[in-house]
Amino acid sequence: MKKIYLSLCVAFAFALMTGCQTTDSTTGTTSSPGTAGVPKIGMKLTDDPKRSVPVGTEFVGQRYFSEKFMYWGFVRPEKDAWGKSTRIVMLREEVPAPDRAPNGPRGRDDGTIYLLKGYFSGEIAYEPKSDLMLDVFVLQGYEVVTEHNKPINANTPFWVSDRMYYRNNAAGVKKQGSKVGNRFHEDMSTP
Amino acid sequence: MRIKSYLFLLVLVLATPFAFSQQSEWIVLSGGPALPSWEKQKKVPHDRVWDNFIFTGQLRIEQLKKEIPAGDIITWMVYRTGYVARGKQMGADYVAQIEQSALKWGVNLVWFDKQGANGNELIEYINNGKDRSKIKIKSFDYFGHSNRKNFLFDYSNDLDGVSVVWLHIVDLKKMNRSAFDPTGQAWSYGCHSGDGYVQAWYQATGVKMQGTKQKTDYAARGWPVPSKGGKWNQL
Repeated sequence: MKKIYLSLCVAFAFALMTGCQTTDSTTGTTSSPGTAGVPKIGMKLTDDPKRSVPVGTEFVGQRYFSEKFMYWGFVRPEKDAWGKSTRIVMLREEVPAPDRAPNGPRGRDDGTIYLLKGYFSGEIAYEPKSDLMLDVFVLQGYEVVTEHNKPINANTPFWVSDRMYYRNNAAGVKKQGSKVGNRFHEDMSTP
Repeated sequence: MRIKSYLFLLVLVLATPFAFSQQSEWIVLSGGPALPSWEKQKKVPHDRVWDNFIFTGQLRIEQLKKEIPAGDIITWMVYRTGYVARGKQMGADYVAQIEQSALKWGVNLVWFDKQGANGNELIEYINNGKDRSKIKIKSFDYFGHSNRKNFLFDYSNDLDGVSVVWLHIVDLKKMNRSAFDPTGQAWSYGCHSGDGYVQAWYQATGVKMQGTKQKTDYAARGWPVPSKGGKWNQL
């Protein structure tokens, strides 16, 4: 009887002492950062280890302006045609973007092709109106090549999990999943 | 019989503090402001004043100070880089002002600078900022820019019209679910969170979040309210 009583006391104490703790058996533990990929020749990794950007200091860029989005436009290495290596970018302006000067509206250079001096910083920016993750291009200078060019049909956004990415589609990149492009024009605007 | 009684009392004395001293953490999170240099030429400029998300965060802190049990922790997490940049542009030291406010309120101020593609400081704090086996997050309130899928701690600050520091719904799964008290609460005072983010938050944390499907209006210099007659929606 004494043993039973003592066992009950110990069990009671143990229950009280552990009752305020929570086991860590639930899901959602911190994920590991993952192994950074190895970039291809002529490419370098970004803040997102799953993606890389071209190295170099001179690129060709075409301005694309829409009130719906904030991105600057399309950029590709000089040696490439519009297509496989084309990126949608945001600019980090070490020099002001061509349409930043106050003597005219933003986007007045829509369709202009530039020779861009600068580089991909490896940063990723989030464009909230489209839910796109974009590469950041550091603008250090530019020259106008031609104006009033037709829009480039080089990018189709696609989804990985619940996140939209883009990939140029001029080279016939296959669509991924059923949500491709469906929500590209959705209003994701911020306050 | 006396030995048994003493033993029982001893057990009670040893166990009682563990049973009744559960400490909780109440987190208030303030995102950063946009920069006037990007916003001044827009039709509807964001963040005409620098402290939309600081002022409202303090309203919540003031409320918590009156309500929470003694011994609980109020942690104020603030996206620092946004206030450094805005302060630099305005010729003011907003970081010092926020630190003074935290001191005045006696809260645990936690700055962070990186979250999203460039780091994981916010999630790291949530998971490991305290001993989460003992100190659970009881409450989480967010004041800042957002859309349906993302909390934008940086918005139109480092770059025009976009974000470089965020907590996207796809990143919520990195949070340790057991860091949260399942009886707790969460509230987003950002735009459009009620239309996707609150559901993802609940899936990730097990805590119900309130938000609105509308934009939120901070102009009244009081608690943010849903615009266009919108409502706060719980999951």
